[in-house]
Amino acid sequence: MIQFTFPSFLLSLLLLMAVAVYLLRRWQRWMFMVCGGCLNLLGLWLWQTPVARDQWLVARVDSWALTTGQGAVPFYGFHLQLTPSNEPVIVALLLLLGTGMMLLVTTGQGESFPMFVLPMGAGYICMALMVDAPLMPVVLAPIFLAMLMAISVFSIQTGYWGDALGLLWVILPPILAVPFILLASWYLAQVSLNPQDTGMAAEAMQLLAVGLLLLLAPVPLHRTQPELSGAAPPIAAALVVLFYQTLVLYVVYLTMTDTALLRDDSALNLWLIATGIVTAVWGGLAAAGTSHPGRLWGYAMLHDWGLILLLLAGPFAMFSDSEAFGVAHASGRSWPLVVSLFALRIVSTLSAATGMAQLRRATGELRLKSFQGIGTCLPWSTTAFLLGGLGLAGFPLTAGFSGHWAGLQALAEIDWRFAAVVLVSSGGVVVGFVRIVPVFFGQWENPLPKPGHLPGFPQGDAALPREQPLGMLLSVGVVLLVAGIAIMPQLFEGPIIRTLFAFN
Amino acid sequence: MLGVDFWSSGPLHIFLGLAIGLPLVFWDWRAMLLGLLFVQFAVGRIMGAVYGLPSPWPEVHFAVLFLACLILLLSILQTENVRVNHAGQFSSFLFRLLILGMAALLVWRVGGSISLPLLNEATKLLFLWLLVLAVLTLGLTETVLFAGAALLLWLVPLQALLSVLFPVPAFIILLGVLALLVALVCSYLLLAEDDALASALQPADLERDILPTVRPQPSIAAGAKTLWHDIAYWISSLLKRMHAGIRSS
Repeated sequence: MIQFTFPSFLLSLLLLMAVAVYLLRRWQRWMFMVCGGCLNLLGLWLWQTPVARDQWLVARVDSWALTTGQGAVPFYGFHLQLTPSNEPVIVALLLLLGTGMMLLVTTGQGESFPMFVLPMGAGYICMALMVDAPLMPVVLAPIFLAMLMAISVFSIQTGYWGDALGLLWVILPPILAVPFILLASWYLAQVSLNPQDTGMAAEAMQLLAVGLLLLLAPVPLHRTQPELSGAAPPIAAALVVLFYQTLVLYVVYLTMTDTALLRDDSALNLWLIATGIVTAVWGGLAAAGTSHPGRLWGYAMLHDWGLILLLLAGPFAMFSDSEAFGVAHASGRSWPLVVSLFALRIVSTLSAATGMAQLRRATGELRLKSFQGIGTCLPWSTTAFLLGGLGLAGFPLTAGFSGHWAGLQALAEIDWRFAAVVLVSSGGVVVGFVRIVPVFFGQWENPLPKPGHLPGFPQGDAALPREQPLGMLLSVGVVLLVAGIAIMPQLFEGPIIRTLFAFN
Repeated sequence: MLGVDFWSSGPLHIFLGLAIGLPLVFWDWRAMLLGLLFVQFAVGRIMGAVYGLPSPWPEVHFAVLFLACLILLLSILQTENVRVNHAGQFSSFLFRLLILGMAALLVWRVGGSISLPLLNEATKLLFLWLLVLAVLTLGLTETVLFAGAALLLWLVPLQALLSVLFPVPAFIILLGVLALLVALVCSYLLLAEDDALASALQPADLERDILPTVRPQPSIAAGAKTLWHDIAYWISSLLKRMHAGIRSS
């Protein structure tokens, strides 16, 4: 019998997959499909398996059995372990990674992204698995996040069509957050030596609040989202942003639950409300004004992120007894809302990315002009993009509607003006999408591609791009998923309740 | 050897502040990289002599920054952008002087109310000045080169202070790795900024069947130059710029 602890098993598997994807790159599509499928199955299996069990059987061949189980993996003072608290995050990351790999099957995302995505995912999973370190794992989080975002730059660059400086901005928020969170940690250590010194505790809380706020990257540190969605390969951009935000929310959750003073002794709530409002409004305004479909999607994401920031500033009365989800609050915050909204954000973002990736593949551009009439040629991909984008604004009959509606209700209970401002700015995002619909479904006018003009393009009368069978299959699947969640949002309730139990 | 009094003296701190501030005013990447190295060296000495940072770590910090600057330099020597566009000069000499003057005033006036643990007043002001300069540079630049230099500048006081606060080898190594990663990213993006390098490359065969419209992208292997030619160019253009700077001021 061969026995691994779960972190060793998982990380070895991911790194082996990364090596296999590189070595077998001639059969890249098959590799993406196999690896993506395996990761999704692993995520679902982990989701169904109670963490408390000592040992799980992974595979058996004759008398050989590969098992994995509990236990921490020590590595130079860092300890990785699967716990009930980090299990939902690991599952989310595995599913995100697996889905991302599956989506890569139909559209290239630059030469380097497929090679980097698995190590990158392994890095984020490592961070989530870390239960002990030379300093508190939460304190080291900005450093690890900065490193992972730096690796993301390498992974995205070859498919990136924008300004190189814009790409560098992705590592800025975590690097800026490093000193604040580490200084706060030092002050907290001093407070434990001298509990009477309330001034030091207050200083620590303020620094921690600033650090967390920087990590959350509201406006004006928001450039990553519109920049990546406007110029980077869409699926790569979505994965990079969602990986980062998943981990940041987890870090914020851990910090808020471990540091009870944070809420009372800092202005974090006030800052979250202020920056959340500004972020949501700016996302809405910019979305209404932009004529670039990629950036429009980015601003829709930004608007949605603003609402999540606002909800982080809870608690909200309507969920204080948590009847809606049947679970207690985590340190009085509105985590049920945040988690559900973020889950729906993942669905909407990946939906938009799937559609956008197909459109980008077909036109070779991301400018509005090149999308003239694309909806008549690629209807399913266009629909996936539009439904995903509108879902980020909480438009009715999209995946994001239920989450946005619940969020707006919660905000209105505190102050109706917050809800009104967010609603109006959501209108800006909707206007942005409504503006491009006539262009998408107008007459096909794109002069590109000329037959034989670009390598790999079909010859002859191939000026009209068409849906690829596999791409269309993915787009149809995404549209059905989004429509399903829109019509029956209760389908999502089970996984969210499970996540919230783990969070509590 | 120079004693604690020298390393904690006010004039030295002012000199260090100028050593990194002036290259920004003149917007010269050569002076900026040299200034970075000089400030890192001096800050390491200060942390060792005044704040008791154990012996290998100041040298490690300097070695890391030296390596980071070298990584940047290797890309600079391969790209034409830095020479042609004066490294993305986004503002005039007088504007930068004004901004830096205001920043210095701000640090001097507000620095007293900000507390950085264990540091004396002079070192605290120096570190705040370095951090403010890093942020200003990020705001003023439109190229990766100066953005990278700004990020490295941001990490100089952080490494020094946090190594004293948390003298844990694994943590100090993590910060060093972060600095090297930042340099690698900037170095890579510097090449990506260069249109001449980008056009020299062809899309990879691997990608064609998946993304037929993939655009040519640069790689580190492209655009290599002769090293001696570059060093000579480096010195002559530095002299020219210094001469031009003196004339214009």
